[in-house]
Amino acid sequence: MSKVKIGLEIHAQLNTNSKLFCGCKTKSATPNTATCEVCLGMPGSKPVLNKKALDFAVMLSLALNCKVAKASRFDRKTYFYPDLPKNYQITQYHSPIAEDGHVFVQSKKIKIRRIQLEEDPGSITYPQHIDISNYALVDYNRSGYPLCEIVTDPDFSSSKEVKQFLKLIVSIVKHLKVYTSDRSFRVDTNVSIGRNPRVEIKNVGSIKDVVSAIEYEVFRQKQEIENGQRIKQETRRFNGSATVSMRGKETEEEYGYIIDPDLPVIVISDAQLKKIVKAMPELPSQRMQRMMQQYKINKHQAIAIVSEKELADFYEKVAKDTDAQLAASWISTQLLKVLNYNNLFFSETDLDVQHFVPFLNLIRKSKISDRAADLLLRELVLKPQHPGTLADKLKLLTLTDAKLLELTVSVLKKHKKQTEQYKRGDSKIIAFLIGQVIKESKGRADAKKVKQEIVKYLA
Amino acid sequence: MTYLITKVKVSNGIPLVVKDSICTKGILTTAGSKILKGFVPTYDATAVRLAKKAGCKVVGKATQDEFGFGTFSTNCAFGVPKNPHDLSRSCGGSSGGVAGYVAASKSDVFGLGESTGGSISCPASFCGVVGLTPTYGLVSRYGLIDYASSLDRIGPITQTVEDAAWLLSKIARYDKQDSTSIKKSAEDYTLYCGKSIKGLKIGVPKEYMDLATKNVRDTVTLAINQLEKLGAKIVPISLKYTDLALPAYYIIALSEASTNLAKFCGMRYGLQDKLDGNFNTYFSKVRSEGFGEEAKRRILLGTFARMAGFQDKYYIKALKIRTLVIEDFQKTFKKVDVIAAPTMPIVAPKFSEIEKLSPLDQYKIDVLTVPVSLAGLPQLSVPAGFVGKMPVGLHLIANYLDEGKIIQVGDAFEQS
Amino acid sequence: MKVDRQLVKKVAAIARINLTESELAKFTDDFKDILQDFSVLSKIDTDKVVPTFCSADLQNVYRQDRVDKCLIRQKALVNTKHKENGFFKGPKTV
Repeated sequence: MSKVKIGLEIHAQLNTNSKLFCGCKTKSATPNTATCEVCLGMPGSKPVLNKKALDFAVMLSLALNCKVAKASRFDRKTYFYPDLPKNYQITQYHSPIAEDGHVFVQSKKIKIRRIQLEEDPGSITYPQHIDISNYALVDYNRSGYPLCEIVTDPDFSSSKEVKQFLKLIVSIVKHLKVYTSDRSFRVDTNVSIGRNPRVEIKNVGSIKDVVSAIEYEVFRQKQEIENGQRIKQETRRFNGSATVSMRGKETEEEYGYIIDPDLPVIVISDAQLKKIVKAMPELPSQRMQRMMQQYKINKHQAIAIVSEKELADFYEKVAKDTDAQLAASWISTQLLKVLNYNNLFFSETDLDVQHFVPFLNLIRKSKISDRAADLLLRELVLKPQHPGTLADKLKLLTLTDAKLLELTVSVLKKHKKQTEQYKRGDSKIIAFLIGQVIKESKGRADAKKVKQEIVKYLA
Repeated sequence: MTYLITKVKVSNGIPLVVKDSICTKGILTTAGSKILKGFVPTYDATAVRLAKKAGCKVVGKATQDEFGFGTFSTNCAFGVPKNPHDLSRSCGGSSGGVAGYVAASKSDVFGLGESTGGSISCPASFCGVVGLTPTYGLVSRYGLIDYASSLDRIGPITQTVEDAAWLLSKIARYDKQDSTSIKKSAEDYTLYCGKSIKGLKIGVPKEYMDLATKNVRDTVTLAINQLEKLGAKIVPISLKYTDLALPAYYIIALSEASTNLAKFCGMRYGLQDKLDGNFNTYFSKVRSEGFGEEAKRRILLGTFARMAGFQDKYYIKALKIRTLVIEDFQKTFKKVDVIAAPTMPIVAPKFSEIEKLSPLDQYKIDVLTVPVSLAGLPQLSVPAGFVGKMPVGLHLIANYLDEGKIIQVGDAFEQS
Repeated sequence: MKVDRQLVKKVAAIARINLTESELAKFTDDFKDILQDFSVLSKIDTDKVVPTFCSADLQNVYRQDRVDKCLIRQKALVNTKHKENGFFKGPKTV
């Protein structure tokens, strides 16, 4: 089958107090209460650039290993839409903030083509369903919000890679304290198969939806190809379960980009860059290195832990109160497995230090076998509570010494033949006996301890 | 006499007439266009605010070529102003309403005009008043309804050079709301009045003199001779990119204008229709109804010049020519302090003559003011004499932020 | 590149301006006339020339990330008759 190629354009809202080109606040619920002449595009108004937004964009560019432009400018992208107050968007086309970056997603290099600053349009709703409304309702509160657009090369070949990449981007953005909220991320995805034209899926608002949209679209395109139909180059949207053709977007817009004459050039010197680097919060890649050193954990564990900021924060809190390596081992493997299985991000659970530290202590003190701990964890993630109580309830705790002895004796009595074999000097048969005890214990016996008991009892 | 779209009754204060493309809080502001019918800004342009702070009171909003699109103030949605020296002739444009009002006024009055390609100088020249276009960035553009953002400038149109110097002193301030505002400390430009111009070097560009009609050229030559009598040294100079400046100017101005005018679509202010049909249908309907012919022509040309396939040949090319024009002026100012030339190649034409001109012919009348406009240099037009009963303007051009020099020369000439 | 009615029609569509037949004819003539005259620009070599976007020599103009007072909603909506429940009304997008 021909190669699947996926490229992304991520629009991330930046966590500034005011908008990109005016002093309106970036947080407001009541429609049209956070606007001014500038973000309404009133005649005569003029934009002035928010320095913090610029700094955030530069930090993000550095975090994605991009080359920050020595001179960058803003452009006017002219098109007509009710949510666009000036009927042009101030963006960056000719000379963006940064270009030519990359990140590694599981040792695959994903190239970042460019990073640009631009303003968000307003938001459109309808009085009734879109198909029967006669007009649109526009709220310009969002108009002028600062966005950072990250454009990748079409280097992805699966939704899995895209998911890991997006997780990494979110982690970076959160580490930089540039992230606003879960509703502040919009992704346009381009999907093509082999030499077929690419299809754009616009404006998907969450990582999970992006993954689903890609999976649906790849499936759809493969079906079309198999049926001998031609893939149409078009723009589609995702309705939650399928990608759908977007009406009213058939003609390609002619944006006629010009440099925005209202905004002077941005010149970033090496000295300024150094200053920004110095002030940058710890990046996931730096955090990874530090954690490896500080907690003596290996690279794979560290990479897995920093893939989500909340997970990394969680790990460092846990590591303070218990065995750091044990924590790293369980978090980077079993915990992530449970999360992936349930299609959850760590931040979507209520699992906290108060649950996890006692859980690890159960393992440390051999009060629970690894296998039992696995089962316990699956429950804990979905319903966080005190692990000791839960383990007891589910009968997962390892047997007390007395109980273990009792069970061992009963098993030995049951398997007289093998017991005699051991007594006669066949040391290998102990494995069978240990297995039987564990089986009878329903995973509540620790193999090492069982061996000790058998040896002691039959001595 | 139609000079004003809106009249405001004021009792005291310094009377100020303001071009209608400059926003005035609470007063109808249309930029001379039907598409801004009914628009009342919620704020003053910075220049208006500063003028008011200095004691001015807005007595009216003057008619103009729609959005500044014109050289004769004949593309006006709300009345064509007539030249007070001859009512069958144009006031010039696009700030024709301001210049006509100031010229016709029997009492002291100040005017605030706007220039993109020469729209302060031209009407000042045609109406026989003073027009001062400051260095680009010296006066804030905040609140000025944009024609071309890299070219627009607000400036005084007044009865004397000293009046212009006074008003400029009040409105030339750094404005943090305008990213193209120059950080410069305030200056009292009236101090340049009454000073001798002995020893000042004045360059006269051959190309500009040749482009004027004979009568205009003769009148300006006499004026320049007068400057020499006052002690200035006259130096012949050549500005070799003069012929390329006009197409470059129009391409840049129209490209920018076509984006600036995109916002007018019948939604948030101005002319509105019944909300019918989808957005493209609605926007097209309102825009077609609200824009005049010249506005449509310029929007189309500007949209074309920046289209992906044509941008390099037109928009980018024009920007490069601009660099050459600026370098040309910079070389010249190493040799001279001020440039003197006719403001316009002709005197104010009759309306009947204007009707016969093609759009391109009309654009070409700007030939003497667009190079200076492209470069953003300060320029002052002072009345130099008459051809018959029609005024002729003497154009004085200086280097960036050298308003003082042209005020000095202009005032000396005016007083002599 | 051919300067003809088709081109002008295309440009008008991009600019959201409806042209009558006579306007289309007139503007096509104007386009031909003006662009022919403006083609003088092509005669000069500007390969090594850097474009000037702004005559004022400015760079790095910013504002601090401080919240200013916004317009009260009534003022924001004051110049339009197309409004409903605090929203701006606009034409539908399909």
